[in-house]
Amino acid sequence: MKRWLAMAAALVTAACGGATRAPAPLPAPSAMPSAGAINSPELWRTQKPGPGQPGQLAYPLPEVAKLDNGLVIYVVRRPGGVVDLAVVSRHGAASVPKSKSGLAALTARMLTEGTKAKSSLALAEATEALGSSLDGDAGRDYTKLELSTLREDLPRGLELLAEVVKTPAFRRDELERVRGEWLDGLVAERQQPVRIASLVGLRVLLGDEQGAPVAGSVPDVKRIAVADLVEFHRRAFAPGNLALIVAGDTTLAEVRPHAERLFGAWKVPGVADPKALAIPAPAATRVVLVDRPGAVQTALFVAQPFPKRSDPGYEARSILSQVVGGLFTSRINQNLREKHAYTYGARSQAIATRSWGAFVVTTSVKTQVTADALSELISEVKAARDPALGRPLADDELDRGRADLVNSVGAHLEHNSRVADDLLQMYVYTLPADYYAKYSNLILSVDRGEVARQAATLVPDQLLVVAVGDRSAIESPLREKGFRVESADPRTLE
Amino acid sequence: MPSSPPARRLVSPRSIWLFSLVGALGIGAARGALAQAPAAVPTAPATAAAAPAPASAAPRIAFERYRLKNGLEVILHQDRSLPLIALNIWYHVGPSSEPRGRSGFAHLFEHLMFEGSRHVGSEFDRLLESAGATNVNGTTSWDRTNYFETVPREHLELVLWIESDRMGYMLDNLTQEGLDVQRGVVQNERRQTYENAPYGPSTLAMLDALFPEGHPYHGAVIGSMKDLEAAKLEDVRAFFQSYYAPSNATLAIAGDFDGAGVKALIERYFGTLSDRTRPKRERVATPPLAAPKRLTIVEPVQLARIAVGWIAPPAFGPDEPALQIAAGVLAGGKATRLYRELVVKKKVASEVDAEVDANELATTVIVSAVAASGKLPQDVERELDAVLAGLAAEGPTPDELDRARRRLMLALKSELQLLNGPGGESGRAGLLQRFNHYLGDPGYLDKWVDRINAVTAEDVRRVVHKHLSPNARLVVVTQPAPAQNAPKKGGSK
Repeated sequence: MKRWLAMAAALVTAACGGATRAPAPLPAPSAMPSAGAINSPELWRTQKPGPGQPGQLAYPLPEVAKLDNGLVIYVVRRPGGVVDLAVVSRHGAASVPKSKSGLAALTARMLTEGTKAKSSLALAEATEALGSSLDGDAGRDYTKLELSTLREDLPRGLELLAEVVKTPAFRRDELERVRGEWLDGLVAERQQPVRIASLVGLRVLLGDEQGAPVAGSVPDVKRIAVADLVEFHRRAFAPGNLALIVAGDTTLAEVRPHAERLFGAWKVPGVADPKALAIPAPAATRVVLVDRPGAVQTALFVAQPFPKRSDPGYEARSILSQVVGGLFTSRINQNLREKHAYTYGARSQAIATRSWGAFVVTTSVKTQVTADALSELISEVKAARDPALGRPLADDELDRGRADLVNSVGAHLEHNSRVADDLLQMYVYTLPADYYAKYSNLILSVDRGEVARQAATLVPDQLLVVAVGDRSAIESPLREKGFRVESADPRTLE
Repeated sequence: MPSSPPARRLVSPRSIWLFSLVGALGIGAARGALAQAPAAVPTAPATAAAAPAPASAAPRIAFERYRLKNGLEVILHQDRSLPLIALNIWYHVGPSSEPRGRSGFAHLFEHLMFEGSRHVGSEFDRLLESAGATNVNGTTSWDRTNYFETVPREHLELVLWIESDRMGYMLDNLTQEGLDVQRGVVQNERRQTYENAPYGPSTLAMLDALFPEGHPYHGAVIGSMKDLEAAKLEDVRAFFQSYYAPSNATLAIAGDFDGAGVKALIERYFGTLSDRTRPKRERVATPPLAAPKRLTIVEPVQLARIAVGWIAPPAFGPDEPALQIAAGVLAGGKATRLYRELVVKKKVASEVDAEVDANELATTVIVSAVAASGKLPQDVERELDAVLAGLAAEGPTPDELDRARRRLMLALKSELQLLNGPGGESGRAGLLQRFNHYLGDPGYLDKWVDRINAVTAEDVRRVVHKHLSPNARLVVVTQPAPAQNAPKKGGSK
């Protein structure tokens, strides 16, 4: 493959396009500087500059109000002429009935497909006329509808959201159309090795019911009926389960009268939260293999159970995950990417939902080094757990982990949508209204001992590993390293 | 859930952070049908239909621009509302200046810029993370390469120290080992982003065939494995010597800084770096394809896909605003034409997209659709052609025009909240850089908005007819491989 070099512009004629241009040679060796020849060293530059006058990055307290019917309103004012709106239910994929996986996400989507007064197209035209789009989505613990508007369109945006939440159409013909599109989406998702690894991993780790994908399994999505949507909507979107989240160029005083008018008179009985889920770790590390013949990389998903969101130590576990695999300079990324060039990147996360948690590492590694990369990855989990292995958690890496968490939350103040996400977390996980205002202190007060105690709960010999890759190339090396390899149950791919 | 690999920018070396484990929770799955066209700019008059309020005044980004004696260009944008500072440096060089046999080199070079420099050492990432830097990254696009980070304001001097040291002394820290590791990392990036990703091989085929061999935009920014393998330390030295001179760079700083103090600091850290003559750049005339072309790529996927690519005139040319609107009329919302026709009415596609990638020599327009289950690529292509022909013949309705314009305007206003965007070419610092790079005018935003506002339905009809012609396009068909439709249970190979 050749490219034209601007440096040798003389070689390029003003020929009509499509003509192949003569490529230039590399510059002659004599033209190349030797190392350091361009600028002379300057001794003063060896001195790292100290910090200047720090500012106060004060995460604002949201304005919070509760209507008589139980609906909670959160407002954070931000400049910029745009307002992000969301209606959030505390019920998501974790609250759907058995064999109806995908119901929360599909209900969210169907809420955007028409109201009693507006067809699907009319609703789309009305939102896009505001420059916006109405998005419905779900997670394990929430279902939400989002809309952003210019400041001047705020009343119109709230009216649309209320209409959608209160008077959905759930038309049978629209469900059939969306179902087709949805099932194709599931197929498309399962074309991606990284997604396959996560889908299989969560299902093996959490079991068929809670581990089913948020977007649903193919057989489950096929059996969801209009009655299921109606029932989930009735339960999840009862006002006592809902928050109206507002981030942008407005105030509670401005929003509240609209909310009273649009949402105030509406009452439905709510339902209880899902129960906590006890997940067992595997008795010994097991590798579940999904064959992808000819794949040039193996997608890896490595996981163990971890405490749920409300269990003590969440912040310490966040810092731990930063150090092990969350930062760019984390132990796993430095090892797999910067030392061995096995991958483009590797990352861990301490996932925590209302009913379960998991420590998860994901990466894609070159096929030929799959077994080596997995061994290195696990060795980093071991070293983080056991100080006797010679690399105890060090203050400088903990500081980087804390700094990254604190400043990432601080940077959320740059954009409405990030603030709205924080408010969603606050509502769904019943965090105090000053959680983000105090977040910095909270993180900085977690000491090394506390992180080390969390690290001691890592179980590097009892990990669930999912490997999506070329079986003929990776299975033997994995077995040679002593890994127990089994084939994925095809049902976990559905 | 974008299921197609990027045809445009390469974000690296940290773009791995963009795929979040939120995905592991399955959030947002199956919503791919509404892939958004890249945002440009705009404001719009109200129409009566949904009675939205009149759009507000055209936005501006206040700035000051000056040059150091060594030629380094500086753009400052002060905003003291949050104690944060975003720094974003653009080097006015990209893969379009790569030497023969070195495809992918500009991007590989970008990775090496994170490996360290003489005085700072090789701990960039540790220093930045310790300082609480966010949005740390570099990206490579055809004509430019950028490096950026956002830090608490007290660390301004730290990032000036780091950025000036790698501008002046990057070669001093260069090692064969560093090159070898980053070569391996980039090769894994290529595997992950293209070779092992659905429709990735088709995207590579599109990029290889759209511009002719020898053209500066031929091939993918990531380059070929063979060329990456061939890159040598001498190449790194020559590229740095030629293109990473102060006068070939623009430093933008946005946020909470003291106006006078920041200039003194910039002078201190960058002022002593010596300049070199930058190689002359010449514009290569890049006309549309002379004839229609077609390729079929077989991939281990279940859903077929059609991608149609065109070469249109360069960035910010007379027709770009109308092309951006055309893309918004075609895709990016549920009330857009391709979505309504292909996904909702005809049910031949499950996902549609329209992208405009505007660069110095040419703009690439790619319209694509993933087939619905059981639908053949020709079914999709037929309906896609009908939509394009309809738009070329009749243009958009007034409501369609208004919706596309308003979506661009809201996206722009939303983006302007950020000091710097995730790829370093959006957000305030990114937009100042983008306008400056392509037009020499960082303050072009309000003019651009005016141009978007001036677009008529006839303009949209005309540019679709002229630039998205069936006689000058490349069609890439992704054909599912029957034998390997899905990942099979182990052993069933």
